[in-house]
Amino acid sequence: MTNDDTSENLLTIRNLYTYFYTYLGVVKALNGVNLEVKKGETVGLTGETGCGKSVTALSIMRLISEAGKVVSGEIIFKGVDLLKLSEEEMRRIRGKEISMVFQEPMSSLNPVFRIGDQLSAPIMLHQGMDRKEAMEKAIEMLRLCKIADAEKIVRSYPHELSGGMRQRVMIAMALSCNPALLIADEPTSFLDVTVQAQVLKLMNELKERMGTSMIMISHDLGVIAQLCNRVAVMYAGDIVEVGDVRPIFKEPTHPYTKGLLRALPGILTRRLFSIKGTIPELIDPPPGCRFSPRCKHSAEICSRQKPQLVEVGEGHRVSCFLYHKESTGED
Amino acid sequence: MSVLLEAKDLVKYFPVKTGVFSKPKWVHAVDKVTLQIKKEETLGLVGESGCGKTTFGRTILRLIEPTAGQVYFEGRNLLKLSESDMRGTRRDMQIVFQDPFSSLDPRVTVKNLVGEPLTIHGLAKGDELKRRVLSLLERVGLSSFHMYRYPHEFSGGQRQRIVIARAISLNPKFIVLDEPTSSLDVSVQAKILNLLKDLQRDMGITYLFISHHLSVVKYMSDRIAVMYLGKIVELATTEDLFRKPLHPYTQALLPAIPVPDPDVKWREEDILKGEVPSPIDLPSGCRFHMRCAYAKPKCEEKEPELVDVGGEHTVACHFWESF
Amino acid sequence: MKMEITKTIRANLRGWKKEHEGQLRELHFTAYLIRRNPLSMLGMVFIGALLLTAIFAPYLPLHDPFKMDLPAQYQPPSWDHPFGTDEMGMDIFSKVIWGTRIDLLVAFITLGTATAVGSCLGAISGYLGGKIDEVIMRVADIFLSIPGLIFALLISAAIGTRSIETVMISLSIVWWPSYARLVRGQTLSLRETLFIEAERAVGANRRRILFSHVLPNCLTPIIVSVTMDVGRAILATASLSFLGVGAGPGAAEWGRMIADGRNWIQYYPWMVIFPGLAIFISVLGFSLLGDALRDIFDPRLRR
Repeated sequence: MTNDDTSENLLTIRNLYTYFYTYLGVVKALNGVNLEVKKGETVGLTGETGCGKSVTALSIMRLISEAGKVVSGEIIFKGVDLLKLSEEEMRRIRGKEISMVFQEPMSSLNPVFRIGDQLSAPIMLHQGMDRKEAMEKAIEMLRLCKIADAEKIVRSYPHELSGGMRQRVMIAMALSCNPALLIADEPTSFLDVTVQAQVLKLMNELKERMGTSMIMISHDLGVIAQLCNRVAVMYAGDIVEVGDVRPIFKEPTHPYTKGLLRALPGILTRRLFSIKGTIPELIDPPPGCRFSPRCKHSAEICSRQKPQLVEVGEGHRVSCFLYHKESTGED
Repeated sequence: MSVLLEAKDLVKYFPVKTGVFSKPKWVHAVDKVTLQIKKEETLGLVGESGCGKTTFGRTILRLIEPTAGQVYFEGRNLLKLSESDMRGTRRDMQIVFQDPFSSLDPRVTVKNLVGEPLTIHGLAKGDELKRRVLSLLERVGLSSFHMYRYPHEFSGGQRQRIVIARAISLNPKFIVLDEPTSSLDVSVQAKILNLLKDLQRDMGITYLFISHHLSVVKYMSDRIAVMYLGKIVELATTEDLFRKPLHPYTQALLPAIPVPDPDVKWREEDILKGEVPSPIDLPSGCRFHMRCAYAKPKCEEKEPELVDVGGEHTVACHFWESF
Repeated sequence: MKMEITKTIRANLRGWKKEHEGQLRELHFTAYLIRRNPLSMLGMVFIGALLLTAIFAPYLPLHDPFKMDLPAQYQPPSWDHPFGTDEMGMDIFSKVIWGTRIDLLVAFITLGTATAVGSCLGAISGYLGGKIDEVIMRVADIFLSIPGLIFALLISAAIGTRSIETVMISLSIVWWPSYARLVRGQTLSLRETLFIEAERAVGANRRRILFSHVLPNCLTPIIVSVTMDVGRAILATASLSFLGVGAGPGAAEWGRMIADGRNWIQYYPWMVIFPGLAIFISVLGFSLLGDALRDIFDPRLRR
């Protein structure tokens, strides 16, 4: 049951399958991902290594490396299927309509060019301004990102800035052309705790002010809880649970989500719960629910068939046969 | 409880390359740190990047030579030991690094990696060595399947287990855990932390747990020391530190951690302003004064000393009483 | 009885395979990558042909390469003499075949020595630093500042005897500094890695660190470099022989053969073409393989 009202959604991903072709076999990274992002909301995408959250983001941006391919599915952005666009058309969207902020600011910034040059480049490209105007806009964006001394920063090189500053520059760059959608892939995982708090708060404020929708990818459930309106939990290429942030954290339904929340060291110092087993191989995965080998509720059907997303609450969907029974009344 | 390891006024400065004609500059990584680690406890060491916690961990093991100060292990001054005596002492003090991807020689099989300490110190060889390696692997949750493979064939969590197997192979008394789970997934982290706790209980090991993840440190440690720019600003039992943080930095650090609870949101006051200053050009007086909400003139002039405020709680702040 | 022996052999083999399964898998992967690269396959074919020729030369039905047969001199290629004959009536075909043994042997021994000595010195130099590093590197610099072939000529002249052994010694002396430099560079970066620090943490002494951890990790660039150098070594051997320092006149060595036939290019070009072709194939084969290996061993491409 997917939300068919694509006109209300800024972005709708339907049945996305992305595979990577390697020496050892075909890595089935995304196994039929469904996701919606409405205008102005922040959707969190969380999960552990290999779950496919970065691959999803790169699939949206069509930045999948050569070894990979989006095999099937639709990515409908403002009514247009991005997968059907030519590379030329896609280039016009990247940076202008959909922007991305990456995890490591040092590797996203070119070390031999000044900040000002790098910031003004997309502005000149997408908004057709000349150099002087673009530079002024760049300075304005930096100020918006709470960077004091913007004029000085604009003349500096990336290595002269701290991690937090660099990430702010990346945010400024991403938002400079006022995109409709910002995808942030673990933007603060390499930053200190106190700087992380500042940067995330900044992103939130800018997002509100500019009306940008955001996909926040993070393995840190704390970040998700603080920043997102809705969250989708991914496991081994599937979305296993999606919904508003409160019900997911307070009343998780999918066994994986539950296990994840119980593995967090929190207020109580009881022994951390650990989900037995490990993340499955994505090459030639067995059919059925990919979590079933580790799931204590696993039944026979779980290893045969892949569960679909079903509603268990308002906007709260989970992909698990435990809840299939309740909603469809059959086994 | 007796003290296993003691650092006294430990200093480590790294030289910074400046021009030929300018004055030499130093990174004040560890700046006169005095700390005692008790037998069989887990002492947590927290702080943000650049605070010196990693350097401290390596310096007390003499993987980095200190610029000044003393380190006593079981009463012996480590800095006075010769190279070969030091190598022998290393049997009792091990380290687990953060990055399991680069802390294992990619060209060596797991068996040889885990068995190497035993070989180096002449404790086993041949079939006996194989047996012991296998039992170590099983102790950390691996099996013979892993023995003849290379590190890069395994996941981060498995590699970290290999590192831990190697670290416990010599039955050490003390292990420095330098961000051992920071690069691991949440569920894998849980397993590794549980493993570390089990090993501590079974083998009576003392841990120095270094991390910037306060929630993890809280779970693992008995006492916690907070570092800022090369100095310890607060030291207390875990319970006291979280219940009654006295140093403004600790007070700012605690709420800055995003809590995985949508009902507990950040407040404006929680967000600490400014950035960590450079450890080369240190601020005058108290190193935290430029970001401190309660800074007074005295803070800019004089650097505060660690003061014992009772109940094993020490703090370095002129005005701790007002909190 | 025989069953027992085969059983034990099979068990030992299985044990060995299990112990080295990691390494075997790496080799398998490398072989796969080589197969996928057409140029490198071509290189492998050439090299394979050379090696087989060198190994099986004594068993092939050839004319005796050392037998002079003056009446048969300067004959063009024919059924009996596929490559023709030279001024002393010796069969060029068999000389080229036999020459494979000499040229490959010299190249391997020379490079083997240069690599072993150079790598050790380079690793020690890079890891220990300080005065030892200075001394070794200065010496290497001095050696490297003299153009290779000239240097080899000087050394050969100093040694006096004109023989293949002289060539081997002088080429080894000329070649070790570049490996020392290569390994030193690798060592400098390896020294800073976490796993080397972990080795120190576990109590390894310097000898162990250098020989069990640093050098094995330098293997990849060394292998690539050696493979590319084999071709150059063969060329150098041939050049030195051509210049009169290595093999004596009439010897079955490619460079020597070209030297001997130099004056007759106009009339009897086959005396020069065929040994030249042999050199060409060798150098090309090893260069192709070396190039391919370099790409294969690029860590980013290995998954």
